[in-house]
Amino acid sequence: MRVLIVEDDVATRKGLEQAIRDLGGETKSVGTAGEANRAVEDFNPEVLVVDVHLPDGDGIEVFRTASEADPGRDGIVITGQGSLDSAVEALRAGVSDYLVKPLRPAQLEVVFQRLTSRRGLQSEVESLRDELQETGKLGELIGRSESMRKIFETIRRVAKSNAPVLITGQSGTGKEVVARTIHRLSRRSSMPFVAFNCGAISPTLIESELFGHERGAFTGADKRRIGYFEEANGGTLFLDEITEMGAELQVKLLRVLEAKTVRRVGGSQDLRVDVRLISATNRDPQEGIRDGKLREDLYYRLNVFPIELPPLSSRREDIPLLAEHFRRHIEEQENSGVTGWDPKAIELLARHDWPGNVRELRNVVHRACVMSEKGTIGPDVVRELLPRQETPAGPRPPRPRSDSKKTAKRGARS
Amino acid sequence: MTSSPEGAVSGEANLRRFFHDVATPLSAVSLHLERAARLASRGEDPSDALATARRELERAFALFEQGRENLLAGPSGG
Repeated sequence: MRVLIVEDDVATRKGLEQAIRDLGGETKSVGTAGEANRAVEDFNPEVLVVDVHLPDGDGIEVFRTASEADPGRDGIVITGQGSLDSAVEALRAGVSDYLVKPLRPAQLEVVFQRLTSRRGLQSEVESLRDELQETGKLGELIGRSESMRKIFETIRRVAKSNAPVLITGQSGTGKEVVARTIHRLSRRSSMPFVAFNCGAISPTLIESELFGHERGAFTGADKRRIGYFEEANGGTLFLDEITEMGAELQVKLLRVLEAKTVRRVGGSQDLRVDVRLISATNRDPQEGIRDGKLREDLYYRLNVFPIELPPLSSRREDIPLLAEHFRRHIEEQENSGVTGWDPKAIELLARHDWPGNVRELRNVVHRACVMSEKGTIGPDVVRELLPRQETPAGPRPPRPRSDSKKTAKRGARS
Repeated sequence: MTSSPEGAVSGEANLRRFFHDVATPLSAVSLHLERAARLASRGEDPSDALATARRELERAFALFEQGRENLLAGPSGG
């Protein structure tokens, strides 16, 4: 483990360096914030041990900068003045531990053992992720096609960051699955994932759903209600069909993203929230801007990391893998005795155009399992389930909005 | 202890400064003593680590004396 020690007191710095080396760390130590910023570049530390007060700056700020460059970095802050303010600031910056001087070697050892064990687990998770990617899976996402591999890579990158993500793609391509996967791979995974479909609620109610309301805020508000932003605090909020949100509310959302505070409807207090926002739309966002459905300033705020999901018809090579994945999943649930596919049935699935994308494929596989006798799913069953298509299979142009989910979901801790 | 809010603030700041000043060499003392113990248990020479610990302990004493004088003479020391 590469550890950068940033401490201006020479004797303490040397003592820390030796103690951490004895604990198995590879160390580099410096005495100022300026030297630390350069050492982060050259030494590429995995952990920073920083004193809060440095002659030329603030140690927490040094960690914050290093952590922005690589969110996988851990930080241990040490201070001679154990004030609550600096502890809170350090924790907000994402440090793992906060130690007050005088340092006790036993305390340092415990902190390092904990960090080593956590980082070991993290690297195990990383290697499992790599393995899953090799086998064509990332979380609940399935695919070996070039387009899906690129999406897996993007997801792995964005999961490490807190930046907003905008997912675009036709209905049924798995936008919510992508959002859940980002959340599960992120540092927020132990906190709530809350999904909300802006198209499923009347525009007049969206504000109180998102921001909550105080008792008596409007007729029928007989008690205080926590909104989705507060519910997702510390975790991730997924806003589907973002273009269905009214223009006035888009302004409020923009304000929340900038100030990181929400105010309940009828409330007078701004409440601080720490929420990672992932939004999605099945419209072309640029078209949404032209049609006045999406504010341009909000679009740029949401679209820090864009992810565009391809329609299933443009990644036909994934269809056999998906079909088999769904069959196994259904078999586990229903124990229908269906053990596999006749190759001709798979061929039919692979040639179909799938206007409803992965969701439609999953439904067809489910029905095929129910309709099949024990053994393999044959081509006759599949032929019966697939609607006739007038045009031969091939890449399709983007479709206009079609089926939108009509239910808003409150998320559960995942 | 204090006669004005400004005095209280300054007294608290002085006290924090004092703790910070003394805690730093004490950290070095404990780290270097631990280092000396580890070296000795491996049959290596601990004298450098012990010398540093001793030097830092003397520094902590000096800072303690100096801080006590300042605090007792200051507005909160009364």
